[in-house]
Amino acid sequence: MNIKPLFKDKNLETHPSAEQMIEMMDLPDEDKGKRAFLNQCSIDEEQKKDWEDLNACLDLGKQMPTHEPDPSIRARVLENAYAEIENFPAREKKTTSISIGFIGWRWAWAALFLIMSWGTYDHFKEHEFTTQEIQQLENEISSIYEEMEWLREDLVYDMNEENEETA
Amino acid sequence: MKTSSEKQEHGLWFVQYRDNGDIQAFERLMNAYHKPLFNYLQRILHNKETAEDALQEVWIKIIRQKEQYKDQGKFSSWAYRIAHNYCLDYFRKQSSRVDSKEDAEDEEGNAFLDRISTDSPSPYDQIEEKELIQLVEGILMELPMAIREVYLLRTYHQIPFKEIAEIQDSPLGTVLSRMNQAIKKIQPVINKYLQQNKSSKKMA
Repeated sequence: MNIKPLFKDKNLETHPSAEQMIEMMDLPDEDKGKRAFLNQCSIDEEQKKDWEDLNACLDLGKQMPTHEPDPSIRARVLENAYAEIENFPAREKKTTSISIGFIGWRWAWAALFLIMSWGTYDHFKEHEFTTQEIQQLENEISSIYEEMEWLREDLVYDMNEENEETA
Repeated sequence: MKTSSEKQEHGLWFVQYRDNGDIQAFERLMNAYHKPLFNYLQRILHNKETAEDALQEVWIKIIRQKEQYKDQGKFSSWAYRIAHNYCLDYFRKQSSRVDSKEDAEDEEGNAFLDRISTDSPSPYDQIEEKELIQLVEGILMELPMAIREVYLLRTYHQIPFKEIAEIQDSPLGTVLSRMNQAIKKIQPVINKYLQQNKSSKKMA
């Protein structure tokens, strides 16, 4: 619904109507139209009185006493509010926090991997192997070659057996 | 008067409850609106027990119709609109004189207003200010709902007229006219009280 203000670009030199004055109550004092009206009030006693009477009438309404409802109503309403969210999908409620946590963990693991990689590279780059370490490495490499040779021989043996069976 | 930033915050609280199941956000909303809604309902429905039942029903409607809340709207307008519609339905069901917005504009409503005349001699010659407020409350209770509602929402609840127009689903001009009708009935009473006070002080 398009609500158009009544009070806009009116000629404030004439006395505004009662409804125009009522609408002015919602305007800020800095509003151009309202400022012009209030200035007019300073020289027009009748207009000033009307404005003051209007404000007094509204001030009276503000002073009406406040009453408290039965406290049990609040508890019953909250029960309904809780019941409504019990059906709330738990997965949806938790998704946001888990996805944020997961994204954070990925970055943490990536950083740890980089640190460890760099540390390993740094260690071996600068490390000067002793003769003993070199010998040990050569022995390990030899044993790996031997195991590979055994595996190759087993594989050839198995393949020959298969060929004989098929033949 | 609640500032526009406060009202925006209230809207966000409701969205947090609706979308994330944040019950604490809902409790904050209740703290802000529970008593004002009750006072509104009590003055429209004229009865404390009826207003308490209405208050519970209005909150339950707010909870169950939460998907209908538009994020760009103000929660206050939406909540008061639900309360307003509840009151309209209540009066229709009562099948008594319907204080609907239509009645405020028809001839019967205007004739009723004319019967509340301030030209007749007032029994309240020497009244204190709190009695004046009670007197004004009494006048309000005699007004049609639409007129009473505008006065209450603007003065006691300090809701701007544009927002009242949204709550009542009426043009702004109609809302201002209703306010004018309420003031026409209340203002002479205030003026008479002030005159009486002045003359009694002079005599003293």
